[in-house]
Amino acid sequence: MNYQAIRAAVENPLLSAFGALVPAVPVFFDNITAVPANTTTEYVRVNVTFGITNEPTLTSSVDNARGAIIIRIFTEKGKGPARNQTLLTTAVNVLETINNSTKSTSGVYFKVGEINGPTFSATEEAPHFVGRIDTSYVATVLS
Amino acid sequence: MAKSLGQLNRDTRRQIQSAARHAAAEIMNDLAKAGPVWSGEFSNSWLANAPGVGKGRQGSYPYTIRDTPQLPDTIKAVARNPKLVIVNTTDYAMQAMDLEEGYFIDPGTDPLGPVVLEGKRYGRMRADVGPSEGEPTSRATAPQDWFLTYVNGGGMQKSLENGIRIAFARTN
Repeated sequence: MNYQAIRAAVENPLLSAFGALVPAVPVFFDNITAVPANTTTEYVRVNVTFGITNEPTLTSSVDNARGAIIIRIFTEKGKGPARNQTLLTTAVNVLETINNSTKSTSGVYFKVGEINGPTFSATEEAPHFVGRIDTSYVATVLS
Repeated sequence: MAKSLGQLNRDTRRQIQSAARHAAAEIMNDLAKAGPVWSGEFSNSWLANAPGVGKGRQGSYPYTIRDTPQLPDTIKAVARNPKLVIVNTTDYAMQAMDLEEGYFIDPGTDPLGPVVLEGKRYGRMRADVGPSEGEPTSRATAPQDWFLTYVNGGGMQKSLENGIRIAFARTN
């Protein structure tokens, strides 16, 4: 099992996509302290979690993992949902691209499930309007 | 003993309803185990409802099938597809499940559950607790996104399978 390769399979394309935006939007991953509270700067948080590893499947491979991908978009509160939804679209496009990739003989074969959301929240104390999508994934390590 | 086809059908319907209730109890137990446990209020506040049929009793962890509502087994009632809905009745459930931002204060008491994050709070999500140079001022008793990991990562499916296995093992 190569958890790092699985994580990279989804984190790298998301980092590239948000980095290519003008202006680039910072992306924070697991175990990285996100921007300080009360800032109104927009940013993205991506959490990749692992649920079940090496579940027997109908294929010969048991080197697989299931888990969740949670993407949260933080944009300025009180300015409408447009900017948040634009950034969410970037994230969804990345997930769709990952799903359209074909299975090769090496690396990680990564498939995401249905995407839940987006759901939006803006609590009284917090400075951001938060959009969230989440999905399941199944990743198979091929090499 | 021979049974009429109608009776067998009713048995089957009861078995399926029992499986649903066992599965609900399994899910509530696994949610209680996976989620944060500070005072125990959150983990003891899972409730199974059957909209249009009735509420389960407010039990506490560990939950049993008696904490889930009885489902009707008549042909007419089953045709209406009764559903079991599992909710947490605390008013901070969304924050505890990492689905909303919130305002968190360390109560200063020791939690009943294990501390999995300790340090300085840097954000408004429950598990926004990062490294601190001095004394830790914030703690969390469940990892970030424990709920969505349970739902999406296969945990809930396993709970469902276990519940069904238990129900059918008891009736066979």
